[in-house]
Amino acid sequence: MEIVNRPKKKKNKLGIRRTEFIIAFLAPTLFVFCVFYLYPIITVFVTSFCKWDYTNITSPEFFGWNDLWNNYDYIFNKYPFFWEALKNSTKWAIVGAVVQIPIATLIALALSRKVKGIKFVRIVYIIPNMISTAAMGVIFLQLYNPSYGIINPIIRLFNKNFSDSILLLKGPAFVAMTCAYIFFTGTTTLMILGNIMAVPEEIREAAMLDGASGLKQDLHITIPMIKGTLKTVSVLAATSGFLLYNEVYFLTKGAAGTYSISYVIRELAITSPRTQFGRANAVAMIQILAGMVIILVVSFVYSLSPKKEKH
Amino acid sequence: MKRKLVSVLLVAAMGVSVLAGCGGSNPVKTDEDKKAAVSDENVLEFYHGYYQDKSEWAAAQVMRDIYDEFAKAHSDGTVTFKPIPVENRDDIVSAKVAGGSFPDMVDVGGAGVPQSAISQNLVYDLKPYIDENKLQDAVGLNYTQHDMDGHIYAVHDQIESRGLWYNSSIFEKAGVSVDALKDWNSFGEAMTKISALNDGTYGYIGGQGSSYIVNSIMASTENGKKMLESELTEEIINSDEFANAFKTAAKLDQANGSDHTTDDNGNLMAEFNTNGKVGVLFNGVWNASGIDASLVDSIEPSLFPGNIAIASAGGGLAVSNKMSDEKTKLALEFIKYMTSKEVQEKIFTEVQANPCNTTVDLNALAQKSGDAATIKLAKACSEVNSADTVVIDMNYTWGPDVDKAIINALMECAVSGTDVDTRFESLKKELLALIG
Repeated sequence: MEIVNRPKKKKNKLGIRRTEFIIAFLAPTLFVFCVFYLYPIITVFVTSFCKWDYTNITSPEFFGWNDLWNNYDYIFNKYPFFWEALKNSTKWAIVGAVVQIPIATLIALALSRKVKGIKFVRIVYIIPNMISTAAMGVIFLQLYNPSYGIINPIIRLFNKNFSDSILLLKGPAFVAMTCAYIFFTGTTTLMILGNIMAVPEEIREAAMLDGASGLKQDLHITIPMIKGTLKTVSVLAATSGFLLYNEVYFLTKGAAGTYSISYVIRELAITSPRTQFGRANAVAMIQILAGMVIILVVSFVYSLSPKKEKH
Repeated sequence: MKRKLVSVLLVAAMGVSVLAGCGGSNPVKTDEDKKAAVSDENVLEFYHGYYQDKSEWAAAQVMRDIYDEFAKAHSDGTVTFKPIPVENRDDIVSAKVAGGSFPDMVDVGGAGVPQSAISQNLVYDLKPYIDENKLQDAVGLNYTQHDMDGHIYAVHDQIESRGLWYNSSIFEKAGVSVDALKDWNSFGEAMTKISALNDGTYGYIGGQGSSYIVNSIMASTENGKKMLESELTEEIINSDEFANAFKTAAKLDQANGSDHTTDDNGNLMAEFNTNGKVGVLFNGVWNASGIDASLVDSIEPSLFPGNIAIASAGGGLAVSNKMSDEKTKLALEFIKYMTSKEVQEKIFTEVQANPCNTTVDLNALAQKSGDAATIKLAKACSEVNSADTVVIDMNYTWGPDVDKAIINALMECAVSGTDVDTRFESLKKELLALIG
């Protein structure tokens, strides 16, 4: 019988193993995660199966197994704005990933060029992104104002008699709302730009020697090398699109078919005089699940291209 | 070795910090801590929404002065009165109620005292005190409108009184007489004439304002008025009264145009009060103080067609049910003070609001002051107080979510070409779900 000498786990002079050391370092973060993230999520999950409104605000009451899905039944089958909100939020999530990321990537590629005055352009580009989304909502409210905003006069160049408020037209209101956030890609652009800058210069030089032009370099070297970052910012853009709230609150308050999931939660929990926490948490649960789906979908989409390359 | 020792010490320090941060306070209290705790128990905290700077809104300073005077007058008592101006009083109330408590005292805004606070028995019933001290006239409309099955949970020192304001110069220019405000048909015709002037002037500010049209049309019948004074039910949603009120308002809005529509009157109010571009503004009596000096002679108050006014006690002063006798006594004393004739006169002349106390002679006070805005305010208040029909704002009885759904539907109907009947059917479904 062969005796296998397994290497003993290393201990330092204090007698602490490496694993214990790691656990000790992770413990505070894990503790904070459990208290501030995990516990609330579990609470949201549990109370979404409870009667919890103004009648029992401090003591949520479990519906029981027979009526377990009461809140979800109300949200899916009775609440008038849920499906509209889910549809809109999903669209905003898709638009976030499909429109915002290409725009941000193009801008980041442009900003990465070593041209005179580019540093100044970078700063100027970032300035609007320092404005909060709430303030942005107010600014866009002025832009879309039919009396003195600049959008209606532009529309009138093509349609002389147009006088309606664009925020009250079903369809255009959704587009107007999307425009209020989709082009503000400052943070995303910065993240991509940082990664582009980190691409080793030698690789570019080698590509140049092989005859690859700037555009070819971007397409075949830069973008594949920053794919990890692109995936991360796509998840961030899609989730922030899905969670859109401020724009809805400031621009339409849900009129003309512009409800979002976050706004629906507010409506149920705050605006409703019946303080419907249980139902709001059912929507929040759907929002959490949707967030997970978004991450999975984006990961799946980004995992497709390497396989293609292999084939 | 040194590096590892430092690492161990670092982890230990982090652990201690986390435990210290999450742990309870030190059980061994110093004398100063004890003193502070005792003094906390003897402080009556009063949250109110008059936080604005004097330059921003002079009335806020007047209200703060009124509170400070009371605090000063009771400074030698066992309980200290502490007014706290906050921008988010409703959020504070919501957060406290969610945690099973209620502020010592609060001037509740928004949709009034939360039902969740009442259902938890967190709010003091003021009715016995009002009856005992014969304050019925002093609290005025609060006594009837805030009566909930024989309990009164709030007293608002000001009455939210709404009618309409019209620009007589624009009326004259458009060839419209004040008689146009007698019924909604002639009102609609008048608005069309004003829009036809084609000089940038338009009929009225719709959206939030249009919800008051619905409110007042409902109140024009006895049955409709009863509906407004009760909770929203399926029967009300399917009633002819509601259908007629909504559709009339929606058609008026469509003729008026969606470009003159807002969910918050404040967004467009300057067009009426300062620019003189709007024929009619549906706003409260307090609008008197917002009229630009150049338009004071043109702008006049009036009631809704049918001699109807919307008056609501709204939120108001609410007291916690979980306080010591001393604190409760001081809180009740404060309510008596706020509804006293002396303070109510100040609220009228300096805050420019409709006081709740029915014994205050508004016209006499206005004449005495000689101020044009106050005289206009007195006129508006008197009209509201003597209207044939005075009805509550549906926002308070049907709830802000219902009110908002109605406003959204009206705003959408203002878009040219919108089918009002179809939108109304969809609104009915929304409302049925909201009350479900």
